[in-house]
Amino acid sequence: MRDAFFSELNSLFRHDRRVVFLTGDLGYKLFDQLKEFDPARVINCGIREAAMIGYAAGLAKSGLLPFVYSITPFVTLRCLEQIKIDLCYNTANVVVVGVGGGFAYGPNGPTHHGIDDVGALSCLPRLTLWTPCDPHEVRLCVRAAATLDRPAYLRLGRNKEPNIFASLKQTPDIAKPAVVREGRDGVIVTSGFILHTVLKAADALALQGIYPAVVRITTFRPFPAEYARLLTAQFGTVMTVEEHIANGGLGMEIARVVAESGDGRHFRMLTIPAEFPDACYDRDTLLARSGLDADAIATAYHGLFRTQETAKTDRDD
Amino acid sequence: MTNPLKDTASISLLLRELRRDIIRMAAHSGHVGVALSCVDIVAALYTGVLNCTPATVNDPARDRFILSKGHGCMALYAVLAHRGFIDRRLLDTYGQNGSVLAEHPLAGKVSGVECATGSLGHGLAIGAGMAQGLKLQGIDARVFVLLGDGECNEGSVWEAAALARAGNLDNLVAIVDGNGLQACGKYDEISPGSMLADSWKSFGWDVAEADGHNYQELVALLGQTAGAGVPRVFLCNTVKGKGIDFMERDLEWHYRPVNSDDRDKAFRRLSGA
Repeated sequence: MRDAFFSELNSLFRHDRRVVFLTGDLGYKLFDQLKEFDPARVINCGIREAAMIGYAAGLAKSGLLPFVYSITPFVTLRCLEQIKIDLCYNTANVVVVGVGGGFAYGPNGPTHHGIDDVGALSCLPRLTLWTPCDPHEVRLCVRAAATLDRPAYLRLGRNKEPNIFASLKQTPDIAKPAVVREGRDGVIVTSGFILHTVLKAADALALQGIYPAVVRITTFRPFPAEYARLLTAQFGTVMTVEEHIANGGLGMEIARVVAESGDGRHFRMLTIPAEFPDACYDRDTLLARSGLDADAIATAYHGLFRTQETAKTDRDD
Repeated sequence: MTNPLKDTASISLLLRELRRDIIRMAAHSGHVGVALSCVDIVAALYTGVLNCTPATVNDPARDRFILSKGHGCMALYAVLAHRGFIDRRLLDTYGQNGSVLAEHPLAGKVSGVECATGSLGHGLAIGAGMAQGLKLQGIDARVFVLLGDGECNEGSVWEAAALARAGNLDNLVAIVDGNGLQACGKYDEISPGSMLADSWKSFGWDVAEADGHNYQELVALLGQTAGAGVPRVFLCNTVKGKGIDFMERDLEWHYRPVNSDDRDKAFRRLSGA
């Protein structure tokens, strides 16, 4: 995802002279191409995230289109008030790019984990929030940034995320939720690059004769509430999966839709527990310990679906 | 274009009128001492320094002003009304339900307010970004940012100071309203041993001092930018509550609304009674 971001940014940077790249002293060698093309529009702000956001707001207010880049927690929670006031309240068209969302920086520890970024940012008005699920979607987000008149947050993984969609042309519109896999036995709704793991879980479920649909939501803010309402009305079983804690995340949004519908769907959300890990772990291990590996997702869904089937049978009896 | 007042009688009249407006606005809100401390600086900027008028308020080539110490906004509103950016009658609505004149400047609601401020430590970085943006686009305009000395407690001010120096932003001017009093005590007691002049110098800025209540000196100095590539800061000596003797240097007036008795007394002081 990171390479896709820089590759796409490089194209935009060359034909849109409003684009300015700001980094909080991270991304060694990754923005060299930008610097070679126009060094004046590449600014290493140093390890000063708060001022970097304000600086970007000022650049935007003077007519430019800044992209601000750092590791997820540093460019989100570290400078949250600057994002809220300088970007959102003052409506500055700045794209905040967090690399390493979720557990992508696993062994680096909780200082580098980005498992609460969406929750912290999702309470801010006017902020578009993108959680792309593969490198193609990252490119579409960068393209969409060019026409934004307000701030946006782009949540990247690191650099190992596989392509889910076969080509850019076959990648669905990022602005809308999309059915990534058709199904008849309920639905799993997900967001971001954990989609890859969710699809593996769906494969495992298929072997057991359970075929849930899989839907991904890439534009998390503004939240597609009406789509979610129709979706949850359509399926008896709904489960959400996200590489994020529960607070402010996808599961809570869908839970609200389910609760407000008042028709008792069978619902479950899978999230990362809001805890600090007790030791050093890589991403896969952290996900497994959070019940978010493909097997755990499949097992959770299996249990939820069977409960719903049993309830249905009881009703029918 | 700017049209600085020349004769002392009209300068004195203007500064008294602005203070009357501030006293009137402060009937139901605090921060009157803050506005009185910075009003002469804001007046000097808008009448004698800034290349920005109601006619050019959206011109990309205008000079920008950011009141980073947003709680001093009564001074800004009074000056904007005097200069015709906003209708004078708006001042009577200050702080009331439905008014665009809130107790900290709202975003995008008031002609002449470049950005919302109020949470301290934001304005300098935004101003520096604007100055950088103007340079990148080849626009010859300046950005002025007014900070409080208390505001300089914020680490983000110093992040912004370093960024501005790294960006060689000689079109950026910071002005510190150095009234020596912050919300709950004296600056010197809260930051013992901290010398603001030394701090700014150590960040590579050109440091100058000015009397923050001397209109003519402010007009003469504030428009002077430093040498090529260096941002300049003016440390202005000011008095919190300046001009109303019973409010001067008294923290009470950081908080206390001006009731009708206080108002009448203040007006008498302004008339020289």
